[in-house]
Amino acid sequence: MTEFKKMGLALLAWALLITPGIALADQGSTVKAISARGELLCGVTTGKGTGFSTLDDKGVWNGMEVDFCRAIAVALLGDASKVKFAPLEFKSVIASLQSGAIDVAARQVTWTFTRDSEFNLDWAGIYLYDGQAFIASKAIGVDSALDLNGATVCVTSGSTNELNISDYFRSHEMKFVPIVGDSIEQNAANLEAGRCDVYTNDLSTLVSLKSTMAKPDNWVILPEVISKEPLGPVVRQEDPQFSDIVRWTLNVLIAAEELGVNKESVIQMVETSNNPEVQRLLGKSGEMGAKLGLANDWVVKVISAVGNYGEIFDRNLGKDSLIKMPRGASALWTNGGLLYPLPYR
Amino acid sequence: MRSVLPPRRRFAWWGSQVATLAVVTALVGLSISNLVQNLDTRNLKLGFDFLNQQAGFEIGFSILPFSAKSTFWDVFVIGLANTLLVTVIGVAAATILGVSVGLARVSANRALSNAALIYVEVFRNLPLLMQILLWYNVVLRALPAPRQAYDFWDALFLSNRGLYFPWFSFNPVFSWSPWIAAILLLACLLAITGYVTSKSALAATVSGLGAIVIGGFVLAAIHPEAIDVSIPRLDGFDFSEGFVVRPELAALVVALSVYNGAFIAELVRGAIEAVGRGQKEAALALGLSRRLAFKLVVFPQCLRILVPPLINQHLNLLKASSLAIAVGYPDLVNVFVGTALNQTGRALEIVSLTMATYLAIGMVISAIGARVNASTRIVER
Repeated sequence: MTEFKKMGLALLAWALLITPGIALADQGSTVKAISARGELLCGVTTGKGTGFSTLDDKGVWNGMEVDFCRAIAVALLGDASKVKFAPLEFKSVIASLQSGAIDVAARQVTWTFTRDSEFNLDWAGIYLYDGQAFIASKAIGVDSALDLNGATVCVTSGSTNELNISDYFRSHEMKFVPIVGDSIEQNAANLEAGRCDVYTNDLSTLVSLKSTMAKPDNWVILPEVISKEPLGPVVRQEDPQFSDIVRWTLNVLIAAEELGVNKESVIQMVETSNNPEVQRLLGKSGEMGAKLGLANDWVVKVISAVGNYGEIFDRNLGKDSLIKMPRGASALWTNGGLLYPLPYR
Repeated sequence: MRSVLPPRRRFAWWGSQVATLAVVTALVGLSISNLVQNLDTRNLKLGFDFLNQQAGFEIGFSILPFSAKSTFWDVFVIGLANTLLVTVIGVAAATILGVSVGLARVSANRALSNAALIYVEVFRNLPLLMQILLWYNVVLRALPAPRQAYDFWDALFLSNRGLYFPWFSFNPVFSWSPWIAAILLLACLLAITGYVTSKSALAATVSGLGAIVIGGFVLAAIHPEAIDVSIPRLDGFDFSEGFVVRPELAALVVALSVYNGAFIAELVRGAIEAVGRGQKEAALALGLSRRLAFKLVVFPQCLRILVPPLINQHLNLLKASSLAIAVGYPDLVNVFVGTALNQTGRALEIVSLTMATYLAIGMVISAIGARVNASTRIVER
C-alpha cells in the first residue's frame, strides 16, 4: 500500500503549491513556524532502515537520523520528544521538503550540485561519508563489480544510485538491466527472490541490510565503491536562520566528540572544564547560543539528550549496534577520517 | 428553451448560470495566484526546458530504443509507450475474457455457468493491487533462476527473469523489394476476391492477411537467408538473443485482464439479460435456431446496452495500469513521475504533463467508444 502513499506525496507536492497558507520565506520564517507548531517535522527513512530509522515494538523511533532530528528539536524547542517523524521513501523526500510537508530531511540524501542549485535546497553539512556499492548472493560466485556484465541490478527509484550505476557500467563497457524498486524492502525482496543478481545502494545501507538478513553469511558486499555519497541533513533554501541552526547542531555534535564531551560528562564538564573551547561550546563563557536565537546552554541540552557524534554513530551503526559498521571516512580528522568540525567561536 | 420559461424562472436560470461561472472563475483564479505566489517565494521556476536534458539513467524494459544518453523527453515517450502497451494488451485480453465468461454465465450448461460465477465473484472482489502483487510475488517468484530455467525444445525458456522465445528479424542485406511487391499484390488480389465473393469486410481482411503470412512462409522456404532467426541462449547472468516477456509486464497484464475481465463478464451478462425475453421467444417462434436467434436478434440489441459501460471499464484499466509501480514495471507514472521527477525536481511540470497525458488517452478511448456506440444505435425510419 505504500505505493499509494508515494504517489500521493508527489501529488501532495503539487497540491501544496496551489494551496495558500504555507508560503513563508524570510529570515526566521521556518523557525517561527516550528516554534508556533511546537513540533519539528523531520523526514527519515521508512521504518526499516536499521541503524538509520526504525520504529521499535514500543512505538519509539531509533537510529542515526532519528537522533539527529531529536538534536535539532532540543536545540530549537528544548525537548527531544517534540519531533514528528515523517517516514519517507527516497523518491518522496525532495517533493516533501519543497512543498513544506517537512522542515528538514535528516534522511540520507546525497549532496549534489543539481539538488543544491536547481532544487533550491541547502545542505547543513555531511554526517556520513558514504559511497555506492553492490550486494550479491555468494551463490552467484561474483568477486568483483567488474564481473557484472549482463547482470540484472536492483536499484532505488530516483536516487543518485540510478545515475551512478549507468555511468559505471557505461565507462566499463558493460551492460545491465535495472529493476527499479521504491524501498529497501522491495529491493531486498527482489534480490532474495533472485529477480536481480545484485542490489546497489550506499554502502551503509547495504551493511545495515546484510545484518538484518535471515542468513547474513550467504551474502557478500562487493569490494568496489563506485561513487562518493556525502549524506547530510537538508533544508529548504528559504530561512537562513534555520539552515544555520541545523548546520551548527551537526557541527557541535562533531565538536563535542573532538573535545571529549559526552552524554555522561557534559553536565559535570560545564563546571570543571578549564578548556576555553569547551567553555564556549557549553555556554559557560560568551553568548554563543543567542547569536542563533537559541538558549545559551543549548549545546549542553543537545549532548545530554543524544550524546556526541561518536556516541550516536556507535549506538546506531557502530560497535554498540547490531550492524557493527566501521567508522571509515566518517571518523574524526584526528583519527584519519573526514569529519572536521568548524570553529565554534 | 429559455423563451418558454416564465420571467421569474428565466431570472433563476440566468442567475444560476452566472453564479456557477463566478465560482469556477474564482477557484481557478485563486489557484493560479497561489501557484504564482508560492513558486515565487520558493524561487522555483516553471518551464519544460528540462525535457531536453540528458536523463543519465537506464530503463529496464522498453519497446523503443533507449540508452542512458536519452533525454527526459525520451523518458516520457518510453513511459507512455510502456503504458499504452499494457493498456492495449490489457483491454484486448480483458474484453475477450470478459465476453467469453459473460456468455458462459448465461449458458444453459450449469457447470460452465457456475464456474464463470466463481471466477467473477473471486476476482472482482479482491483488491487489484493485491492481485498484481500476488501474480508477481507468488506465481512468478516460484520459477527457477535463469541457469535452472525450464527448457522447452531448446528454444523456449521460462525462468524468474521471464519467458524467452525465438524471434526473427529481416536480413537488411537481402533484396526485399520484388518479394514485398509480389506478396502485397497477391494480398490485394485475394482481399478483393474475398470481398466480391462473400461481401464481407472480415473475409477480405482475413484472406489479405493470410496471403501475407503464407507469402512470408514461402519466401522463408525458398530463401532462408532472408530472415534471421535468433534463439535465446544462456549468456552469463541471463539469456540473450530471442525475445523476452519480463515478469513485471506479465504480472501486470494478467492481473489487469483478469480483474477487469470479471467486471466485463458481469456487464455482458447484464446486457444479455436486459434484452426482453419476448425478443428471444419471438425469434425462436419464427423458426430461427438458438444460435441465429442470439446472433441476429439478442446480440445486436445487447451491444447497445453494453458499449457505454464497457468503455468505462477500459478507462478504468488505463488508469489502473499506473499500479505498475508496485512491481517496478516502467510505465509512465513509474519512470516519469517517479525517477524523472526526482532527478529533475520538476514536480509541477511532470505531474501536470502526466495528468494531461492520461486525460488525452482517456478522451481518445471515449471518442472511439462514442463512435462504436453510434454505430450500434437504433436506426429509426
